[in-house]
Amino acid sequence: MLCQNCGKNEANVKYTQIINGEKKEMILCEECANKKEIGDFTMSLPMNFSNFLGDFFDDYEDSLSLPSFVKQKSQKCENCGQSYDEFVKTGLLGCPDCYDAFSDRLDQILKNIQGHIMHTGRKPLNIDKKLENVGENSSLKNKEKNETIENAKIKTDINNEEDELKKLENDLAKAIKEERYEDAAVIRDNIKKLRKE
Amino acid sequence: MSNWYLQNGKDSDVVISTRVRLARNLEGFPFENECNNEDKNNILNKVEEIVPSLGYGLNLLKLKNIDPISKMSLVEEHIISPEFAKKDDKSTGILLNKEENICIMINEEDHLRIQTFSEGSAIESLTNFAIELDEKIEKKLSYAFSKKYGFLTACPTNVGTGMRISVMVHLPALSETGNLNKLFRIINNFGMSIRGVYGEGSQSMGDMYQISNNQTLGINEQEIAKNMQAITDKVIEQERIARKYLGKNKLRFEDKLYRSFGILKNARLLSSTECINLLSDVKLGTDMGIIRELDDAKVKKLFLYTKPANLQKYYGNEMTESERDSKRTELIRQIISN
Repeated sequence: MLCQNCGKNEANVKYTQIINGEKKEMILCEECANKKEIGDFTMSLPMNFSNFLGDFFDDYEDSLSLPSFVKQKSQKCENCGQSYDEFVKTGLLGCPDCYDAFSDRLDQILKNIQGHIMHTGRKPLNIDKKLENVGENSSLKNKEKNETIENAKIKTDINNEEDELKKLENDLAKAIKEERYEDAAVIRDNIKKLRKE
Repeated sequence: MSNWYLQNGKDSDVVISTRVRLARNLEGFPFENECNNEDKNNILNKVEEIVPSLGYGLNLLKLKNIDPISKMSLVEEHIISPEFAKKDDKSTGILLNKEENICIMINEEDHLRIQTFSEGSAIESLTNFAIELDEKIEKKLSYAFSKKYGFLTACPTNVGTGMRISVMVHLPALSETGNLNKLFRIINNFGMSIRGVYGEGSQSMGDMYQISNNQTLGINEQEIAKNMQAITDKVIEQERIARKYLGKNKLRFEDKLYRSFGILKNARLLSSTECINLLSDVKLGTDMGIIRELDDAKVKKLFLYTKPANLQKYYGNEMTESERDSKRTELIRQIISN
């Protein structure tokens, strides 16, 4: 519909005037509405990326009813001490370790904002070497050395688990796609079990 | 040779510039928002130590040593983010080369924001360039990386590759023909975002828009670049079609563009907003070969030096807004007649 004032532009503002109880309506384009000084609906809301994200993340919290998550809610990142609530407030994590500390809930969020939960891009050139070399560094004190080996072992375990999880998730997707829902249920339970460990 | 932002590159009738950014954090530190001053200083020092080994003619500039006008001109050149310029500058810095086509922001939202820039459309080459730079840095500094999530970033919207490609485009014809909303929807459907470069909110001045990828995780660097290239090519194609359509109504179209050129050339007071809108018409006229009094280099200069901070930097002194509005027109006439 064209603007009733200028008759030129597409109308997109409804202008209602009430004078002495008489209601008068006009359909105007933005330009004419602005001239009547009624089209200026601009206002600055205290909105920024982080607090928007924060609310967005918080929504997930409400929809999660599993008891295990409730327990985790009070959990903090052991490295930097940031709680999940703080993350929800700012949209920013405290340190690299937060990714592990909140991984269950982050996976949910990442699935929605990124569509994926696994990195497939490039890796730092030295990352594999670094994992191999851990423990061989003779300048480390013995105690530290053992600890690092221990850590490296844990890391490999985690990696195996990650690979396993990835495989199961692929299987799950395949089963759902092929409408083998019974198989899917079994795989889903396996994934759950693995995640708990 | 002048800096990239004063030059014209591939498809520069539509694509103003391209930027590739990698978000990186150093191992062993909390993210920037949880860093205390000591952490931030340590990060800055660590980066400072490796500067000579990186090459590329990079220099570390601490933001506290940059005067406010120069700082704002870097924002206007889109080399640093406005948020970064506003930060407490005690421990922020940038690694910048002479050509200013590399800028690494230190202690932004992430410890390092590696950026490469180019005039025109240069998605693939800039992606490779950014990765090359990244590989040099990671030989010297250990990044926070997880096998599962990739490069770890303060905000999960950047995690994974940490890579964001932004392409700045000039879309006056799509805007004039009323096709922008359609374009916005399509771009959003492809998992990318588009927003106005100048001005707040959806109101964009000068029909300058920035397209960037949203997804950074579960997709590799080459795929991101490929998708961005595909979308950019489509946008260029559509804008050119719309321009041809506008050009059909030759007299009316030429009249509109020349009126803008007339005001730009003869006005004695111009605000930066009005100036950007006039320049948008003048750029369109020049790119379509309608306005022959100017060339690409002059248009680029007009865009840059009429911005508030760059104008003051050019004249070398601080000015009030009304002083700027007057000086701006002087400079415009000078650039046009040179």
